This record gives sequence, C-alpha cells and structure tokens, in this order.
Amino acid sequence: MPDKEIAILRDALPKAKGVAILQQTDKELAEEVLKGEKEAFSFLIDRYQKDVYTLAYRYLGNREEALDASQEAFIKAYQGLKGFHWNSSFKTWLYQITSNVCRDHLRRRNKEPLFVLDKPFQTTTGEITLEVVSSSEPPETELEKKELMLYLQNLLNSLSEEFKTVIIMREIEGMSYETIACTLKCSLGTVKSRLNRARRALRDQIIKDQELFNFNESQKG
Amino acid sequence: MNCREVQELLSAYLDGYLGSAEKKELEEHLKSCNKCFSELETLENTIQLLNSLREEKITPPPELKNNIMEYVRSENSHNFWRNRFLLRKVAVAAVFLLVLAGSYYFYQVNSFSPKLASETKTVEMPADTIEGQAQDGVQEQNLPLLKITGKGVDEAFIQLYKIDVSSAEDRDKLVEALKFQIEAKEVTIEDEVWVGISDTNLTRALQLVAEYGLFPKTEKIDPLEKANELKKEIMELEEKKNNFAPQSQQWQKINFKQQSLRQKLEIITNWPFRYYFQIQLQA
Repeated sequence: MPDKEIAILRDALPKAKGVAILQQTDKELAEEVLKGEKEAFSFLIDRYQKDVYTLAYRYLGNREEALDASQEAFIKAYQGLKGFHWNSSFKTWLYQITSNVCRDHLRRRNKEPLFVLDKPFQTTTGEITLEVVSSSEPPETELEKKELMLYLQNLLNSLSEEFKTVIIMREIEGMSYETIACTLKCSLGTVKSRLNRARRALRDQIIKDQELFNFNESQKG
Repeated sequence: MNCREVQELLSAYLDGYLGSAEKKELEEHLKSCNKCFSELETLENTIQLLNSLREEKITPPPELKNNIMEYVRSENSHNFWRNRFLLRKVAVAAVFLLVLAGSYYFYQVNSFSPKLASETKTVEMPADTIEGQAQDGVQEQNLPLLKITGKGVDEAFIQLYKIDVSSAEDRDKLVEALKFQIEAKEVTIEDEVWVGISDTNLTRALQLVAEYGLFPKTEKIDPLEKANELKKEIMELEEKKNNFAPQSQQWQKINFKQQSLRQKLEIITNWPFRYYFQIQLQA
C-alpha cells in the first residue's frame, strides 16, 4: 500500500484501532517477519485477506475452496517472502500468487463446472433461472444487488478455466492485455480473441437468462 | 470489413486495443450496420455488469487468519500442516460416504447448517434437485452422482425450519432475505423465526445474509417429534394452571404461554409434511 494511502487511512481510523499497524508499510512489516517477528505477518493478513479471499472466490465459486486457496496463497507468500524483491507492490505479488493457486485448483478439479447455465437445474419449482435480476434495470435494494452478485458469480462458475481466467484478470483485476499475455505466457492476439469469445459467451447467456426471466415474470402476473 | 470480422474485434475495440486503421474501418461499419451496433451495445453492457463484481468484497471467515498464523507460528514443525491437511481430507471423505450411504436427513442437516457447510463442500448443492447434479466435492473424489427421486415432491420440499438469530437487527435482515426468496412463508413466534421454505431458497437466503456477515443457526424441525413435545408441554402447563385461581395473574401468565405453544402446534400440524424419499445412487 502506498504511504500516502496509509496516511489517509491512519487519519480516518479511530485512534485506538490499528494505529501502530498502519504506521508500517508492507515492506517494513515483511522485514520484521524476516527478522523473526512472526506476528507481524498477521498485519499483512489483516490488510489483504479480504482481497485475496474475494479473488479466490471469484475463481473457485465456493467458500470452502476459496478458504483453502487463500490459505495456500498466504502461506506461499510467507514462504517466498525472502525471495521477493519488491519489483512490484506486495499486493500485486500476492494477487499473482493467489491467481496461480486458484488456477491450479481449477486444473486439479478437471471437471465440468458446478453450475452449467445452459442446462438449468430441474427443481421442484423449476426456477433456478427465474432468480436472475434483469441487467437493464439498476438494482434497487441491497438484497437485489447481492442477488445480482450471486448471479454473476454463477455465470463465472459456468465458464471453462480458460475463459474464466481471462475474464477475471481483465474484468475484475483490471489487468492490461499485455500483462495478461505475459502472465498466461501467450500472445497478445490470443488474449484478444479469447477475451472476445468469453465475453460473447457470457453476453449470450445473460440475454438468454433475461428472456427466461421476462417470460417467467409475464407468466406470474 | 464484414459483420463477422467486426464482431471478432468488438471486444478489443471497447478496450481501446485496436490500431487506428482498424478502428476507423470498424467505426465506418458500425455507422451503417444496426446488427453490429446492437452487438456492441450488449457487449458493453455485459462488461459493465462484470465490472460491478470489482467493488464487491467478500469477508473471509476468521479461520483464514487463524489457520495461516497457526502455520506461521508452528512453521518449524513440518509435520503439523501436513497432518492437519490430511485429517481434513479424511473428514471430508467421511462426510461424503455418509451422505452417499443414503441418510437423507444427515445430508440435509449438513447442507444447511452454515457452520458445517463451511467445513464440507455441500453448501451449494440444492437439495431439491430432482435429478441431482454432481456436486463438486462428490465428483472430485470420483464418487457416483447423487440422484434423488421423490414421491409427492411438491409438498416435500417446503419444510419448516427454526432459525436462531442473536439480535432484532439480524432478524430483520434475515426476514428480508427470506421474503426475497419467492415462496418463503415466514412465521415469527417470540424471538424465533420459523420459516416454511424450500431448501434451495433457504440456502440462497443464507448465502445472502452471509454476505452481511450473518451466519444464523438453522434447525430443521421434525414435525412429529416437535408436535408431541408441544402437546406434552401444553398438558403440563394445563396441570400447573389448575393450581391457581382462574384469571389470576399467575393463571393468565401460564395461559399466555400455552397460547403461544398452541400457535406453534397449529403451524406444525397444518404444514404439508408427509413425504417420502427414495435415494438412488447412479453410477
């Protein structure tokens, strides 16, 4: 975290809480850990656990595996701290580790996605796809927003590893095409076409779900 | 440029990754082609929708930090993590074996107790899947698909749950989430929330409130057992009531308590509970 941000946070937080933590940069904390102050690592966890866990959840789609992957990522970071040269920020590095761990998990799974959206679950009420929130209307309540997030997560879950990775890297992590190409060790052209195919697949699914949603709504009343 | 070529490039165009000549050619095409223009719009909407996931952060469970720090502190004893990890794998496998042994009740309790759910992988399995989709944990271990078939399933899947919440505020959040699910018939008695809801919708409601950091304890109510319990309690209170003069303060107090129990009894006996399950294992 840049020092400027830390200063802002320091001012924003109540005095009693975490003042000592925020006075230290990621690098300072890491140095303490390397000196043998193991507890300093917990401050780094505090800072990034939400980001790491969220990213893992986006990749893996369930809390159990997200927890496992986040743990693994932090432990890898702890083990690799000595070899980290601070060419990038700690956060970027940690994100890279998390992303790699998650992709390993996906590869190990080597299976069809949990939720296959074009083959909706047959439930007693037959309404798995009914709970989609129309994208054209802004979500009205906090709950609808949560519901939309769940819907989007399920969309992500339905993607193949290849598509999911490129979508998460671009849409969620906001990486440039060049960085994605570099991370995935592929050409810029591959990134372009893969991202295009992934986005179009998602777009088609959303339109399909929306039609179903509208149909169900009209049936209801 | 024809439509097919244009559509290949729309995604990169939106991200500003086209060369100036390509960009110009594409824009020319868009001016005259409604179909491609509408493709562009829908693609843009999709990207915006996906970007909304950026702001959404999920709070990890406290185990995350605890487990990492446990590892960090015991880093020198190498066997620690390995043993722990293995133990957990065994525990997960054991849970699935029990599930597949066909104990529907067990399977349900595990799926919908949020605490247990975080320990196993059953959390996202909708219990009212008639043709059960393979669950991730199950498939991971190459176990057979779980197929549930039921008689009278329409009745079977609306069940009665008791949900414990710690504060009025939590209760409101939960009730809001439950109502948001289509068929939640919620009954509140004193401080408890009783809810008639399908397992899928309960799971979804719990997922929603979990986003608020709320993990209420849910308890599936066994209708017969609970009804007998309530009847017994009402009878006991009736005896107690006889010790006091009718309409006296004590008598009224007991009477009030009886009324609330009768209300519960009524809900239980009127609920469509009778159902039969058959669980088949499909290789």
